[in-house]
Amino acid sequence: MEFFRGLVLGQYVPVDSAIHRLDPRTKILATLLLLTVMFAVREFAGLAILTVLLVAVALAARIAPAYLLRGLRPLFWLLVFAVVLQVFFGEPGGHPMFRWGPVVVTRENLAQAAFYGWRLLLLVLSTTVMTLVTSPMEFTDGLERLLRPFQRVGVPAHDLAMMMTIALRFIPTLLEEAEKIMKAQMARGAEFTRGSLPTRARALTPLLVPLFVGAFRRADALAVAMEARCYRGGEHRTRMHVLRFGPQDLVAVTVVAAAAAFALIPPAAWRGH
Amino acid sequence: MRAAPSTVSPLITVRDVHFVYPAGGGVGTPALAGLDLDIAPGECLAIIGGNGSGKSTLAKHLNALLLPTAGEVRVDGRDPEGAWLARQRVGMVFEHPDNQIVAAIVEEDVAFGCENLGLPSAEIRARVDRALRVVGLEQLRRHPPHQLSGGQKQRVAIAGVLAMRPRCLVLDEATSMLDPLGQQEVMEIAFRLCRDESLALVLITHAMEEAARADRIVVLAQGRIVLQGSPAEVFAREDELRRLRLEPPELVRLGRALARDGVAVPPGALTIDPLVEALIAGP
Repeated sequence: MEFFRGLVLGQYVPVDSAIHRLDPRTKILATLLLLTVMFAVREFAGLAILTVLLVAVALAARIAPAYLLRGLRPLFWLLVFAVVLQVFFGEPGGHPMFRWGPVVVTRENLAQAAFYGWRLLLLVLSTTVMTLVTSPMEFTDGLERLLRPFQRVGVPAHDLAMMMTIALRFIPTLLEEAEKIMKAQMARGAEFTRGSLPTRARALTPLLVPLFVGAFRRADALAVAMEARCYRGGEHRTRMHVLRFGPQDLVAVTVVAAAAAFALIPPAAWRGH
Repeated sequence: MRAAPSTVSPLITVRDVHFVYPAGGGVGTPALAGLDLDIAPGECLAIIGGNGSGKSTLAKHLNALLLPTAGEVRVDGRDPEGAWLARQRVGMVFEHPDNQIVAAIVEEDVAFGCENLGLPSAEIRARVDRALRVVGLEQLRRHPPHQLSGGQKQRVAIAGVLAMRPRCLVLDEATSMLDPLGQQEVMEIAFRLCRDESLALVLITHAMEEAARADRIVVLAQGRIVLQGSPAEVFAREDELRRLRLEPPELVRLGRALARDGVAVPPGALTIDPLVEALIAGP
């Protein structure tokens, strides 16, 4: 899969570690909690605490740092964009550091930019870590169980989970197919990598049309195959893997909750003691 | 090869089945036009025929994926209108290896059917482990299916069916997208299951070499059975087969060519050994 080698988000790395063995519900809830806290945090100290926690989790899960960084690569331009926007077009006033034509860069804006950049990084990092340590199947299982109580108010927990399972199952297959189509088109002189952006976007049409047609055909065949195996929705369905919330999950939730609480305490409160 | 046991009550009975695919607006062309067929427990039946002869339509009737427009199909004596029983009894493996694997991990996919049957977790575990052992994929149990070869994917599909404890396995052109090695691995497992576990095997196939290994061959054309019998009987009717755009397997044609040249080939030779013996014996 040459064209898509950079794609890490959502690519589970099967390793046996204490983190990997946690109940997926624990991992999902912990990630949700961390994401929420990241939005609520107002101070650098809070981000630092969350960073330490994430690095510790990544180390405990034995994720290669290179792998993690590769996952952050697609984020690079977004990060640059956000930081530049914040630096040059942030709030007026504050302590000017240097001036560049009509643009004044202030210390406050620079700090803000660093803060937002760091936060963005953490947001992506936390979801990347989660997907690296949770197999797609576990993730879907966990989500289904977590959503089950909401089934009474009309949340189609099982259907959502099944849709996700199938999406996850077919992502690699469709990527392979996309690459095959691209190569076939390139062999006949198509250009995907040169030209202006609109040209390149137009060049994607002969890729996307067969890809979608193929996906619909697959969906049709898969539906028949699922019916042939007695699939009839979530009712009466049991699972081979039964999720168990064990003591290690309690520990993990406690640690994450504690770190989240610390991250939310403003540094002023620390200095007060 | 055993002859089809005729005294046992059939596992599947197809009686005067007609089927018309609903066409947009008008009346579609009939895919099945009054078809009768009995499938005995544990027999190995090959269904051959040209494109559009109704093979796959027939296959989809065997486990109620399609319901006949007229006539009836009974699985284990019961009318599979309540389709679930039929689908548990008659498992199906389809042509495209990629489009029938649901889960992103091999063993989860094998468990899919059992989970749909609502079996307890421990029971599913035991059945999945056994099914994976039978198809020889224990080593790959935790792998994502897209890393598997075509033949391995079809073996996953067979395991998934097997875990549901069916009485009949239908392979609907299950080897047509595979390389020769993959074809061989899938067919060896299918024939072994038929022999050792007395699972009835229905092969819908274009590959005459596969059909030659069945107990019985049924030839379809225009939604009807036009020819049936043992492989030796069916392949002896070369002219009729040719009219249906079918051709006997290469070994049969070779045997016939040798016979024309005066070698004493035993009639109905379908494997290589009798040909070799005939050649050694000389004219």
